[in-house]
Amino acid sequence: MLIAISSRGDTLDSLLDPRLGRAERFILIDSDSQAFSVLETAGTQVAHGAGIQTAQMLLKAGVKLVISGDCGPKAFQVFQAASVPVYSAVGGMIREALAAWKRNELPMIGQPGGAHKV
Amino acid sequence: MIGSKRGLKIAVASGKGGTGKTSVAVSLALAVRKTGRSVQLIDADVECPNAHHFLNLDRRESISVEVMLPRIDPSRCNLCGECAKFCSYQALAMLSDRVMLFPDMCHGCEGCWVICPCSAIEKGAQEIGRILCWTTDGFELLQGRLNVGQVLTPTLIRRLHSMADETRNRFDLTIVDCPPGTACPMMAAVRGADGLLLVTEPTTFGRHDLELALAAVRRFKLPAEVIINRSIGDDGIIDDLCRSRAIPIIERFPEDRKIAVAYSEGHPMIEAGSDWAERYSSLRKHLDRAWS
Repeated sequence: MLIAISSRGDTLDSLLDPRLGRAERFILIDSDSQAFSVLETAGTQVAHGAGIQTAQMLLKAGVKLVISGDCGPKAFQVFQAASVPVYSAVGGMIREALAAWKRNELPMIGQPGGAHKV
Repeated sequence: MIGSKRGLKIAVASGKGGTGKTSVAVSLALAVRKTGRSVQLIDADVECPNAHHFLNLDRRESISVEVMLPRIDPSRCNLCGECAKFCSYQALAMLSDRVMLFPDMCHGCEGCWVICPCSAIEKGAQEIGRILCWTTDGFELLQGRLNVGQVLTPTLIRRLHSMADETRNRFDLTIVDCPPGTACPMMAAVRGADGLLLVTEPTTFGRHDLELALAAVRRFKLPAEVIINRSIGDDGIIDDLCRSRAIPIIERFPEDRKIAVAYSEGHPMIEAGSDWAERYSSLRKHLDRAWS
């Protein structure tokens, strides 16, 4: 299963980016093989609907689960429609967030947060 | 003289909020009307329209203003994603099995309707606001009111102008009460005017925002004049700016408690006392000379 984690850098030791729609990139990790790749998003560039755009990119990449700090209302609607769950992590490194999810310690976002400003 | 050529349109703007744009626009309209000439007043401050409070008019019409909202027919959609790719406002999101619509992101440009290769998009509509119209003999007030939560302010202002233009030639003068600021709503309100009256106040904020307003409207190349409101005798801060830009200051309205009292009772400046009727008569005479 392909997992996307919003990230400030390009490795598993990078810090998690608490923003979803406006994160610059995502680390895409195959939960079985642990192989990962980096997906650059235009999230920080667009003026409107960054969450909607980012969510579409992740869905197109085949992502089945998302880990971020929070999830705005519009991105949440897109993920919900595609049955992709979003989990909330407080911060730390990408590999820590992944490990926390595996230990079942991350809460699933059931209600969207407020929209992020640029 | 105002009225020597029909359809003259003067915009009252400021940059800074609360300088007295609406008070000046309404009072000037009444001053011209007093001389027997007909006036059309456009309240283009559609996010906070309030000119009607100063006038005792019977409302005649309320017209809905709509923009196109895409309606996607799933039986014709081939999920190509062209519409979502085209939309600059992310109003359409491409899922694996359907296109998702976010109505409040849509700017009603109709681009998705044009670009869809399978004609799967139909034109639905969403109301962004209304235009209210009050008419009495020789006087018309057209007011735009943006619906709560809507963001297409300039679109509503442009529709307001188009509607006003339909009857503009029946009037000796059209006055536009513009929204504050120097962003898109203000620009949309000023566009198409023949002249500009900028209302400011002799404060640092008044000067700062007047400077911004002058920069914003420069490309329109409109004749502009300044009215200083709430003058307390020393308007040096505005004088300097206007001198350096060669913009005439045509009126200095003094700070006067009578204005606040009249305002609180819903009366425009021109009705605050005989001295104010006189000031507006003099402003009107100036404009008659300037627009002869």
